[in-house]
Amino acid sequence: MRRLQFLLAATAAMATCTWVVAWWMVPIVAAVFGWVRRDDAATPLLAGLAGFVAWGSLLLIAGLSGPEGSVMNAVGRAMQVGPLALVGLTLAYPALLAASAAGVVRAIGARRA
Amino acid sequence: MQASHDSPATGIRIQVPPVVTGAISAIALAGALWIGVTPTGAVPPLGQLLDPAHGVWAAARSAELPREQALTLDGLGAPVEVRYDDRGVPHIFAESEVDAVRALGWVHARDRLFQMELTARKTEGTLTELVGPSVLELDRQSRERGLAVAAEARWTALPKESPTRKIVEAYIEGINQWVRDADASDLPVEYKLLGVRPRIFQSADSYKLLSEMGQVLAWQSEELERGAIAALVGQDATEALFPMNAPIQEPIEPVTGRREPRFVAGRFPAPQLAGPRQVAHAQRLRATARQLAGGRALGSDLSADHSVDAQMGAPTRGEAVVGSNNWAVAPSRSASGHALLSGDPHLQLSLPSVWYEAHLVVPGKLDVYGVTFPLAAIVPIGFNRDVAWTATNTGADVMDFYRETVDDAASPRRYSVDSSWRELTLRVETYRGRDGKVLGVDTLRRTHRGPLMRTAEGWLSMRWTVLEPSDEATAYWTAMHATSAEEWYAAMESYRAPAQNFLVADRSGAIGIRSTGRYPLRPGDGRGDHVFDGSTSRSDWTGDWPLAKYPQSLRPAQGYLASNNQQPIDPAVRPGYLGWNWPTPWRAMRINEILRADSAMTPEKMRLAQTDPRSVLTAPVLRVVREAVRSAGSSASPADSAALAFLEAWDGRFDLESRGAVLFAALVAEITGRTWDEFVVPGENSRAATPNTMMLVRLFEDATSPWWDDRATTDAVEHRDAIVRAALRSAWERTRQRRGNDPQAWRWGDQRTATIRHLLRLPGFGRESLSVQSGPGTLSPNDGNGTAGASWRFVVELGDPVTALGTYPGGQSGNPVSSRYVDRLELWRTGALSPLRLPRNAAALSGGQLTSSLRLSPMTGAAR
Repeated sequence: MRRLQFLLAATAAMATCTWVVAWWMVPIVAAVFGWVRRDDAATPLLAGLAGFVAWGSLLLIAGLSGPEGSVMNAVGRAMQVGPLALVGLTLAYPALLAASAAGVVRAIGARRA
Repeated sequence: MQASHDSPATGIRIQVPPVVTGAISAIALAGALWIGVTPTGAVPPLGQLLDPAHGVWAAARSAELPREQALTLDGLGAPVEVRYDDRGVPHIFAESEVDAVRALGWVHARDRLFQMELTARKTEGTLTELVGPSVLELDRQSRERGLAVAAEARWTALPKESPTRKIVEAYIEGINQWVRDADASDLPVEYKLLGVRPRIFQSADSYKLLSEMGQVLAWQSEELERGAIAALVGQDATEALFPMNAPIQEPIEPVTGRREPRFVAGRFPAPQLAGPRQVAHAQRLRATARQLAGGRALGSDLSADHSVDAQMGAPTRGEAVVGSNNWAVAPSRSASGHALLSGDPHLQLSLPSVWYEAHLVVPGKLDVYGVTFPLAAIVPIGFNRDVAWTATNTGADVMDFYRETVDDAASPRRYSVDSSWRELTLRVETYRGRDGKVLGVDTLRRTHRGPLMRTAEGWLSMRWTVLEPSDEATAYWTAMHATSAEEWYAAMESYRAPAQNFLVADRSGAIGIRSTGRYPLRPGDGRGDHVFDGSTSRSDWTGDWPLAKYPQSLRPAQGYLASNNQQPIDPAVRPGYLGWNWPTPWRAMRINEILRADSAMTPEKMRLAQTDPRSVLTAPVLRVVREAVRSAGSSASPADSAALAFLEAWDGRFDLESRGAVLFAALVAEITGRTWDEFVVPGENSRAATPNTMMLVRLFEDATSPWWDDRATTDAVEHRDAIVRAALRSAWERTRQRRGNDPQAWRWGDQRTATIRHLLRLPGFGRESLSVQSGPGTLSPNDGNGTAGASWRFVVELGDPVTALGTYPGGQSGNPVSSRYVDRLELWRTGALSPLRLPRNAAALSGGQLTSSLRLSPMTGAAR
């Protein structure tokens, strides 16, 4: 239950901070949550999942108001990676940022403990 | 604490020390952050690129115009209302002209910012700072040509109190305010893909755009190609096959009393056989010609009349594959009793389009509608409430090359004129990459004539009207206010380059045309088709054509006017050198045929003529094919007879469903290839040049000309009929191989398609394989790969009120995911036009016609 709460809170924080500030807030938010939950080995995994869901949610929200499908197709082709790869990259990248940031902080916390 | 993992199979608990997991996480984080902020090769920093709120995905949020918006704009004197109609066209209502153009700058930036930056950088040769080192050679060429330097000189020469200066400054400030106010999510997606921020524009950038259009329309470096042709086939043959004057005269300036084209008959002199020395000379000249002409791409290109031969990749001199058209009829020849004007300028096509439609209204001062160039506050083609205007390219020879004598062949500092040394003007140019690092440094040189270039032919300097002092912006801006054709032409008297065939119609019923531009007078025989001796000042230009000698006509007795890039004046009426590479007259002949035959023209008939599927070229070709097959009698092969029967059944139309057009195009390519084998450069397996179909049709009249002989057959001398039959047979067989054995399944629309590339050639942002009605010699020609075509089509009826139809390939937005990016493409492809909205005030555009409102207010003291 606590893990679910953590996941939801981290997701909301990452999505909000990305929207208001920029992409680099994802590892900062993940680091904060990683420190708070440094005693849980699953924290990096959950942080990564939160990053994935946060950016996925932003894509969905934007998709309701604009032609996300067109972006996916046009930009995916322009970048020569394909539409689905563009989406995959967009979801994987915050997951990597968040999981690794939470992992670093958790490791530091573990050493101190 | 230890990281731990249970193995379900063994029950063994594996513990990973935190230092290990921490190190792995740190490496992963460092890597993720590094690719997030650092470009890797062509890949921009991934963080800002993929950010769903501010990166490429934000393109979706800014794709559509907000229904209503209110903003402040610094520098405005009074509020400006911008109303977007259902075609995405902004109608700008302002209380002063300066406010109107400031708003136009802002509007241009919102829809076309990247295009504007690309244009400015292309002209000034700083593309590497935007795109990277892959375009270094293009930048080198741009700086060598000196277009940006010329543009800046023109801007600097503009008097401080000039109204044009105020207009341009306000326009550029409007652009810059959008740039300054934009956050990352607002920026065009191209900036995100390149990982760069937009520049702040300078006023001179607007003049750079005009210089760039000069390059697109008036680059005529063909002297060296002509020299190569002469080396291969001899001077006499060159003069005959690439003549100063077109042998079929349907000029732009009407000839009083003449109701049909004038044909000049005569035999072509035999080709000379080139020896090894001439071939080597031709090869050297071709290399230099390629060097001088190369690198025009990136978005826009030639407007006039160059093609790639389907068979051998050789240029067909003057074959119209990019052909602009315009025509007008006087009230006496229109059904409504009002003057009608049709504009159909052809250019290299791009997405977004070169054009942006806009309507500027300043009560009592200005009410102008038309297409604008993003980066300029002028309407080069359009209309106001009294006058409509459009243009085709004149294609005059306004560029010359001079072989200079220099003091040091490797690194000259002086050049010799009239046996005395003059100092070269040296300029050091530094090229930088996106990160500011120096990619290269060049020392560029100029003589009193213009840029000096090192070539395989030695040091050549260039003189070109596009680089000379002039002020086209003021001419256009003044002409936009004209209330009659006479006023319009008076305003354009100072216009210099690029030379254009400006066609005008007004509400009083006047129609007029003038090939406007600066035409240099040259020494000697006046021709500019060769490289001049730079060591003497006697080679320099001696003056310019006087305005009275320009090709022109106002209120012609015949009641109609047309131009299609053809030779503007019949030399039999008024001789004088304007150029030599005149396009084929087929389009001119066809439109004149239509206009002569119909004294009750309507806007709808004008529209249909823009994509008219007939070509004047078909009749002479089919006649000769018929004669060739019949001359063979019973010895004609079954394939000859089948192919001829197939062509005889064709209605001569190049429409999408046509089958005969497929064979006809293949046939013309075959005849061309078999006839002009004398132009094949030994060792290069390609032709140095190919005479155009006007010359081919003329050669048809001389069935035993030595030009028909196939040089590959040493034991026989072929004549016309044998060559034409062989071409027909080959075309028939090759088409069956390519298109299938059943000719009833052939379809012209599958073969002649348009391709419209994005400015950066990004694959997802362009459109390909668009079936278009087009054909050789038709009013809507295109080349084999269809990258050129009608850039804007419109028809104006000068009644009360003025009404107009129009469209262009693409849409108003430069955002590839906007519904306004390609919303006009289908209309354009099918030759249809939309009614243009012409509200007199902001309130007049409402209901379904109004899609977005923008109110721009002056910035108050507190807001500043």
